[in-house]
Amino acid sequence: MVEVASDATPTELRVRDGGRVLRLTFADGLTAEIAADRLRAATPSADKSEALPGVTIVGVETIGNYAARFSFSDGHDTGLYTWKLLRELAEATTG
Amino acid sequence: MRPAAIWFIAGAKSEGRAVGRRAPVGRIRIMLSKDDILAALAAVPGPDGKTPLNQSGAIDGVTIRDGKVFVAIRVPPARARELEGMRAAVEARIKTLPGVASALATLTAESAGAPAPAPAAGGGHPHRRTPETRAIPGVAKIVAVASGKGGVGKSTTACNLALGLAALGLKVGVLDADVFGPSMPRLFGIAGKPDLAPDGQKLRPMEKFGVKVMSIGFLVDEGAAVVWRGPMVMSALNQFLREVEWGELDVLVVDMPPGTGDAQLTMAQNVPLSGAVIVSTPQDLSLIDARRGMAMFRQVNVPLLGLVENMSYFICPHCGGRSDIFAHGGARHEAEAHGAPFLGEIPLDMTIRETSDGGAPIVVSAPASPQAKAYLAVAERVRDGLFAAAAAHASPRIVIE
Repeated sequence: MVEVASDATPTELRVRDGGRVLRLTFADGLTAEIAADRLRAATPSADKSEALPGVTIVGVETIGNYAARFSFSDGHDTGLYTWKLLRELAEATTG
Repeated sequence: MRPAAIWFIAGAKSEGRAVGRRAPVGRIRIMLSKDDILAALAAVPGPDGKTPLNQSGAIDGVTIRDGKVFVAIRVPPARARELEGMRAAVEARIKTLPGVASALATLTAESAGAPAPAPAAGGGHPHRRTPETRAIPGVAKIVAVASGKGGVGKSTTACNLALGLAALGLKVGVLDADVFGPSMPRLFGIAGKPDLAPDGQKLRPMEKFGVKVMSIGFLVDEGAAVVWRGPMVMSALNQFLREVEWGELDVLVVDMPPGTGDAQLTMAQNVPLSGAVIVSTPQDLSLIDARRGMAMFRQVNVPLLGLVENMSYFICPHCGGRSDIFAHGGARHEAEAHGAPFLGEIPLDMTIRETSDGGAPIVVSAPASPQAKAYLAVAERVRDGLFAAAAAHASPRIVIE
C-alpha cells in the first residue's frame, strides 16, 4: 500500500582503509569498492574545485532518505550523492 | 559544530512592529577571501622552518565556506609527524581572523600512494562527522502533511489528523513548518509562549488535547509578519526539529507550507521523513500542484502515504442536498493514477470551519460526528501506512573502519 522504495538504496556504506575506499553494498547483493579520489571526482556538487591527491573520506552522513553526504580530507563536503548515483558508480566499478 | 541555541522569546514581543528588527536566527558573517588566508599565513613558518608558509609553495589548496576554512598543506610523508606543530599553528593563526567560524588544516602526502594523514582531532572542527542518520532522538516517525497549493485546508487536515492519531492511542507532536503562515496556535486554541527547558537550551513545546505543538506563531504576535529569506527558514526549522524538547513521540506530524521550496527541502534533507500525506481539493487547479508535491517527495525518496481529498463535497444544512463545489473524486483518481493510496474524503463543512477557527478541532470537540469520523478514518490509514513503510525504508548502515 506504500510506494516501494527504490532498490537503489544501499544497505551499507563502509569506509575502509583509513578513508581511501568506500565499500557499497546493495540489497540485491551487489557490492563494489570505490576509491575515495574517484568518489570525490564524481561529486554532483557545483563546487568541483581543488581535489587534492591522496584525498580521503573523513565523514559520511545520510541526507533524508535519498542521499549521502561525504566529507573529504580536502574540505569538500557539498556533494549529495543520491542512492541512484552511488548505484551507478558501483555498477561502473564492477563493470 | 552546532550553532548555539539562540531562541528569541525575549525579543519576540514585537509591540506592533515586524519582528525583522532583530535577526533572531542566523548570523552575519564577514566575507573572507583566499588572499586574506594566504596573507595571514605569512606569519607561520613553512616546512623548512623559516620561509613563510605562503611563499613556501607547500599550500595545496584553500577552501572557504560559510566561515569554515580548510587548508591543505603538502609535505613529505616522512615529515608528517614532525610538522604537526606547523599544522596546528596554521589552524590557530586562521582562527584569529575575523569571520572565521572554524579552521581545519590537513597535511597531504607529496608522493602518490603514500597515506594522507588523517586530520588531527581537536579544535572541534565541523569537518569530522561521525556517522549519523540524523533522526530526532525519541521521535519514532515523522510525517509531512503537504499540498502543492495553499488554501486547500492542509493545516486543518494536519491538526485533525494529529488528533486522530492521538485518539488511536499514539503519542503525537505537531510541528508547524509554515513559518510565514503559522496556523497551529489558532487551530489548537493555544495562546502564550513556550518555556525554556531546564537545560536552558531547548524549548518546551506547548501541549493541548494531549498533543505537543510547536509553531513560530507562539513566538511572534498573530498579526506580525515573518519576513525571512530561505536560510532563515531553514535555520528556524532545524531549531524546531532539534532544539525543541519533543520527548518520546510515536509520530511527529509536520504541517508543511505550500509549495516545493526551501522549507520542504530542509525537511526532506535534515530528517528521515517516514512518509508524506498530500492534501488537495478535487478541482484540477489544485490537483496540478498536488502532482508537483508528489513528484518532489518521490525525488527525495520519501514514501507517499497517500492523498486526502479535502472540501470533497458540500451537504446543504437547509435542504440536505449535496453539491460538489470543487467537483468530486479528483484526488482519488489522481492517487490511483500514481499508484498512491487514497486516504479519504473530508466534506466542505461549516462545523469543521467553525471548530477550526474556534480552537476546538472537530476530532476532539465532536468526536462522534461524521466529520470527525472522516478524519479518524484518514488517521487509521496513515498509521497503517506508516508502520508498513517502516520495513520498506531502512537507511543504509554506515560503518567507518
